[in-house]
Amino acid sequence: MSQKRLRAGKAVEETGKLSPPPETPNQTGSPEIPRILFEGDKSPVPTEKGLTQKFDLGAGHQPELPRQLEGKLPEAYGTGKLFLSARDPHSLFVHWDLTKEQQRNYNSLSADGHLTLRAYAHAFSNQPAIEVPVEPQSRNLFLNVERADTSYVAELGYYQRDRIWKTIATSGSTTTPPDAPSTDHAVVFSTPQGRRAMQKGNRPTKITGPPVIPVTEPPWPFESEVPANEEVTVARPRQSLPLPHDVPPFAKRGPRNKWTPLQERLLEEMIRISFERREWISSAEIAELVRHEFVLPPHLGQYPLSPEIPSPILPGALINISSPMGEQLGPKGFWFNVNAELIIYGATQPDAQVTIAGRPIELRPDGTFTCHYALPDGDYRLTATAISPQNEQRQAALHFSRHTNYSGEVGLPRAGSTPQNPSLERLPQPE
Amino acid sequence: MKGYLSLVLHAHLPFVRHPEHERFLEENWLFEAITETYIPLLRVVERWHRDGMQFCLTITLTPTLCSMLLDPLLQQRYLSHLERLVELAQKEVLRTHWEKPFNDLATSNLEHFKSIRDFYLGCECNLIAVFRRLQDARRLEIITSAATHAVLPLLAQDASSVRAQVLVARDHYKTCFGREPHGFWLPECAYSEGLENFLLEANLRWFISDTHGILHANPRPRYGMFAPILTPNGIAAFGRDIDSAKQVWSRHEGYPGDPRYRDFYRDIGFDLELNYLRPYLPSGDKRSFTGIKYYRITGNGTGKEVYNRKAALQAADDHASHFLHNRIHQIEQLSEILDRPPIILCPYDAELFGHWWHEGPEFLDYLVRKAYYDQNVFTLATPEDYLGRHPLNQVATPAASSWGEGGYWGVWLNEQNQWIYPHLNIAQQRMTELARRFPQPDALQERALKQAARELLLAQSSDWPFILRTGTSPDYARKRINDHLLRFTKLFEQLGNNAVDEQLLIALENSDNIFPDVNFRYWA
Repeated sequence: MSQKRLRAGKAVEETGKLSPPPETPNQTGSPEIPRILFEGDKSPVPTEKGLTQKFDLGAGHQPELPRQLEGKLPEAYGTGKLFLSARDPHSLFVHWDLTKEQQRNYNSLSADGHLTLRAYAHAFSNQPAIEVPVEPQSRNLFLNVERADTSYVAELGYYQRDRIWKTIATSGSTTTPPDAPSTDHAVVFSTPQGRRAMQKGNRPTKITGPPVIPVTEPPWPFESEVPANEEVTVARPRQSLPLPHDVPPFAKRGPRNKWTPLQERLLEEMIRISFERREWISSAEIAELVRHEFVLPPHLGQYPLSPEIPSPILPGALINISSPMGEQLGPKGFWFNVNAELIIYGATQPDAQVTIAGRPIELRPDGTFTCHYALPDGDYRLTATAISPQNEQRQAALHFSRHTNYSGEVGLPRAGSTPQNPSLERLPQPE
Repeated sequence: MKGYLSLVLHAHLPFVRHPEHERFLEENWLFEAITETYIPLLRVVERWHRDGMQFCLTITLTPTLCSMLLDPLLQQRYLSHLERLVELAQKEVLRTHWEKPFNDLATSNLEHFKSIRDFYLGCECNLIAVFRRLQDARRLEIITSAATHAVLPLLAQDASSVRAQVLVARDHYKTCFGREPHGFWLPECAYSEGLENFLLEANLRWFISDTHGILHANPRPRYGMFAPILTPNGIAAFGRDIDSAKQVWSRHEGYPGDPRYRDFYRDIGFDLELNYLRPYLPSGDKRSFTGIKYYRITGNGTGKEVYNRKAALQAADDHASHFLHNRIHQIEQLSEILDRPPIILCPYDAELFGHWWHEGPEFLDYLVRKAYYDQNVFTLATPEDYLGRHPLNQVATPAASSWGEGGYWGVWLNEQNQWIYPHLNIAQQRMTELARRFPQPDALQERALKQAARELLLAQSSDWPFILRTGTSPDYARKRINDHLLRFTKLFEQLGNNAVDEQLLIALENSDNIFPDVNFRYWA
């Protein structure tokens, strides 16, 4: 998951395939490393659970899916249908289901040698808003249209040799989304129950359940609120419960002031400021969020900050969030990374207890063990101890040193290869 | 109190389950999300519950995610994954023996992974049961989403497919949580007029739209996105607040970019010697994330400094205070203008918290505690709470919209993925044809009809066109679409010829086992 995406915003790494076993031999041509170093990783433990099998349609099975299911999808199904979808306020997606042979046949009947697509604004318009020729082999088209919030119908056809239009297929209608606030300022209030009751006659035919869904009325302090002014249509009788003495202002019932132009203007201004600053931020942007540059927001300070609440944004911050993902650029030109690790391995009686530098080491079933140690520059000592069940002890005191002289720019190995990490040069001194 | 703040987390993963392979790279999406997001979030909510905080967090658990969390094979594989992770963390404690800052982190990583394992074993691998218990205790309000997270407006040409996505999700929710869902997360916040009819049929009460879905509604909503509107059939639509969204996950200035936080990308899976890592990589010789990371974001340049947990938690605390302060200010401003208490609705992807933003669960914890204990300007409330307190709302039809780039459907319908839709449209029509043709199927036919429905639903997932659009590595998405549509077509043909191959059907049932009780008649 963590590759490049996690959910709807999760980029994927390459298609997963059956993982090779851990013991896969080194195929890079590098010198063979003793096999003992790779052995003995524990087998996964069986699950400890007694869950319902309701959701299991046969997880225990691991059948191969039949070969007959492999293959490619057909290019078309030949139904002759035309499909139309609005993609945004100013574009439509149209596709038609014609086989190559069907399309070739229609092209041959066309005076122009190709089909033509028409889009009508409003379902009952007589004149097409757009008419575009389509490539002879094409089965789909993104169509730019002028009007937002408008219903469109598409028609696929061709001009016959006498220039008379011949329709092959007509789509259903689609409506482009609006791209601006509505000019209709009518205000009607209602409750869910009220609306649903009114809709009883218009509901889909296959409704199950009660026609009216009660909304739970929670107790004080959250009394339901019923504004009273002449604009409001109340589809439910008002309640008349007594109000507690410390009722918050907004919970008070009774006539309210009418919504004023000033209120409307102030709210519009507040929304406008927010809207102008907005970014498209959704699941799709998560990877960008943790990858891209982090900059001081231009509006910081617009909201007055209390002195006791410091801004979390570092002044003047221009902070790069780097990525070692595939998109990371490697260093330019020649480069060299090198590092060293220490591998201690050995074997003893499988039931012995082994420690290295006082830490217990897990033995494989055959009594072997392998441990990796990062080895920065410096002098190090390690003591390995084995104690048998009979309390017999064996010990080895190991002494290592690493001293590196760099010439030129040399880094530590890392996917994508980066220059030497300065933090590692400041490691604490070993024991 | 002058208003409300509503936090909504959306947890979703596509259905990825491959019993035919011993280990499968993409199954790690689920495993990492459990370790880094779902269990950490559950622990945060459990602490709120333990501390007696009367707060209820809204979270979407999509049907595909619920199905995977309940799947015995994936549960077993997750445990194996955890065991490998603990083993690697143990090796890391040894490996970093001479590097104290790294060793401290390695030790705390090991403890963390062990505690995750304890949690998972403690609930008998059934996280859905934990979510359900917390919902029953009123600490979570779990909402559902479309069955396989299809972008519903792109299916709108075929009403039966939209209907099935909604009703199958409703049914699955009842199976998982023993009650009816009230809220519905429109996948990608994608709305087009008419969807509310299917929500009404499923007895749903409310959904979330992106900001412009409310601002461009008709008639024009008086209160902007600071109050829900009621669709003409009485379903409430809440609008996403822009400012709070931007503060958390703006790619330019969002909190997760703070240099004190743990660097998401710098993982030992890319740093250490390959032979050492190989047993722990889901895909053998291919480097990938392990979940063990030692560096903080740091700042400009490629050099990274060692992660400092204490400083990172301080950053989360600072950010929680900053977010809280801005919401207080925003609500105070709004309350001076509006004649009703505003609601600020803040929906986020759940996986942002923990997976992408390692300290996200702590940020959430600090924010909720500060909001709960340290201020009296607003109340933390779920959308359901709000509707209970303020059922009277303006009637308007939301505008078609989504939260994807550009605000409409361009992310899921473009030159990279348009080829899907001709096949989907035909398959959808064929499914309706099947459902009408077999009103009283025999047992084998019914199994084939249900499997056809599963294959169609899986092909409709929004995740596949999304991955194709990112173009990073679309092979898996392309294969999934192909596989499900080919399997559907095979079943369609066999049913049409009255020649269902039971062996083939068994293989498909074993492989694509989502929605055991799917009702194929929804497509009729």
